[in-house]
Amino acid sequence: MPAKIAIIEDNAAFRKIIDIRLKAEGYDTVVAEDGLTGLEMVRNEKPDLLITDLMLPGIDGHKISRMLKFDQRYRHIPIIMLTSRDLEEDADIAKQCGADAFIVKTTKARIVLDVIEKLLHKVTDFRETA
Amino acid sequence: MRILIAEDDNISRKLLKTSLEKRGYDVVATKNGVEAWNVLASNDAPQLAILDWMMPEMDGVDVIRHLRSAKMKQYTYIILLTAKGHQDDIATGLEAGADDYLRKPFNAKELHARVRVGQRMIEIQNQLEDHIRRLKELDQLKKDFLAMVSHELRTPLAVMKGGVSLCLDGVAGQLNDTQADLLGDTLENIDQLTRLITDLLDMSKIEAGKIVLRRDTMDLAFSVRKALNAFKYSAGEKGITLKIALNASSLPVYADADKIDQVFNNLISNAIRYTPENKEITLGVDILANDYLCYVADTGIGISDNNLKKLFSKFTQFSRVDGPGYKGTGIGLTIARGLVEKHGGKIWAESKEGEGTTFNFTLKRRDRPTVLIVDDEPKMVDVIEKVLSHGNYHFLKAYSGEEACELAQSEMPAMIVLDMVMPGLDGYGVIDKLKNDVRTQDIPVLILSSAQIEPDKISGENDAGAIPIMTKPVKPKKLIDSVESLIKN
Ligand SMILES: Nc1ncnc2c1ncn2[C@@H]1O[C@H](COP(=O)(O)OP(=O)(O)OP(=O)(O)O)[C@@H](O)[C@H]1O
Ligand SMILES: [Mg+2]
Repeated sequence: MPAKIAIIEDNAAFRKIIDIRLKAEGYDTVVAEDGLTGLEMVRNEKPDLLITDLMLPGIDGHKISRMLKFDQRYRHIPIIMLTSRDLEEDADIAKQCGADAFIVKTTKARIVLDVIEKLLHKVTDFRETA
Repeated sequence: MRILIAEDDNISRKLLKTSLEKRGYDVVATKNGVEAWNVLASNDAPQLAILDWMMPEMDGVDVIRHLRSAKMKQYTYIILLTAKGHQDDIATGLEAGADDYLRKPFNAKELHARVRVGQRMIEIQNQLEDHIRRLKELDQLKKDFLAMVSHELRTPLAVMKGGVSLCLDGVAGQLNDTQADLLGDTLENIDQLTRLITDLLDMSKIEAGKIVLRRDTMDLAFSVRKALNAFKYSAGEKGITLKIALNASSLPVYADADKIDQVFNNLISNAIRYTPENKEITLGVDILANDYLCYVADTGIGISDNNLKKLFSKFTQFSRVDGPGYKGTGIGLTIARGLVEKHGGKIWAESKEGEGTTFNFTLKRRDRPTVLIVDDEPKMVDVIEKVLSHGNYHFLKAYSGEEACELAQSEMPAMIVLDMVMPGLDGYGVIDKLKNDVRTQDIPVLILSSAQIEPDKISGENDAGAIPIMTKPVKPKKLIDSVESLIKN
């Protein structure tokens, strides 16, 4: 069964691009355009990985990450935080709130896909040893 | 204009007051130094004051000393009234910070002339302050603008890049050759624009002192080999041979690997751009007594002596070369210099027109973080060093505030353990100096002092309270932990 990836991104065009790209790579996707809906979606869909924008209306990426990582039921879901800024502080905050990776939006698709693969396998490994 | 006068003698005070009021000045009259000081320390103090020297309790010169040592927002021009006539006395008053003096008994003409001189100085002062304030505002505006622009531009760029890449990868259907070619060019230009924005943002960060280094023990030899691999292709396209000259297989250094890569990248991309086809470029590292000397040596067009001087300023470009490849904006070297200096290194170029250019930069040959220990008491320095010696640190020692500032600026330590009470430049002065220099402003400081610390006197507008304070005698474990956490921040 293909891995299921949840996407939370408020920019419609960029959301479409991630969605098409991930589907083309054979993943299942679910999408949301704001933090609150996104959080609900993650809770209902239990995806294998979450890609979320950092700056979102309502609940932002940091809060989403913190809420999921503090919850026993969801903390195993790896989180990739996307940003259009590259401010170094952002990377630190992303790490502090538990995100597993922090990626600038203009990064090459290939690199992002590699990160996704790695995170998906790390979780599998983790589950096997646990 | 408002003028403060302080004079304990009733007759003199009245005389001064009426004489000044007749000329249209608004006079605040006080009877002694304490009253005068209260007015001067208030929020809306007059900009000109006439103080009598001899007054009971706090005399005129005391008030001046107080005023000049307090950090006031505005400058008060002070005329000292003195009955004493010795040259020496006048010198003492002026040294204490008086701007002018008037001998008693004075005549009205001289009084008004001296007040007018003061008025002129105040006007110039106010104009200057106005200019400075406006410049600061503009500078801030520029920085905010750059940060905002680089953010707002990236989102649409990300969308463009994502869409074009999807098409090029055939996800949206098979492309014919012309379509693929056109979209390929589009993608290349999107990447240029992205890089330009990143460079502009980097530069504004360097200018604002906002570059944060993530230093760790890294291998310089690895960086050089990585840089060679990264540029093999673009050098190969121009028929340029890239060579490596390393004296050791590994060169450990305590630095930010990403930033060092960025320096190499900027220097190598320049070298390739300004070197004709079929020549060669050498990347190397020499091991000196205290430093690593890294270099990128090309056999290209070279730089004239005149241009060498201006090389590292922003937006300087001497030769827009034709041909394929990304045309720069003239900030690559400004960024490289900022990054090298942040590491406590130096960067410079040597060149002969028509023969080639060598860019050199140095990095301290240390594989561990450096702790600068500052105390005028040599014994104390030794004790601190001993306590910290179990940690993996390199130590620098300074026995005065002046020495501490010099070392901090030239060595860029990872943190500073600072004594506060020292003859000459004290701890407060050291902090003030370091926090006002963009290069040293975010070196973490740990205050270690036996005296009571006055937080108000610690400079640094942003967060003076953020400087941790420990009192002597200090518990070894606490010191070790603080130093470690400050270095890791
Ligand atoms: N190796 C070199 N040989 C000859 N000239 C050079 C060399 N490196 C730099 N220069 C000169 O110095 C100028 C400034 O270099 P700098 O790297 O700052 O800007 P740039 O390469 O023009 O643009 P970019 O911002 O993309 O780096 C260049 O435009 C070029 O004229
Ligand atoms: Mg350049």
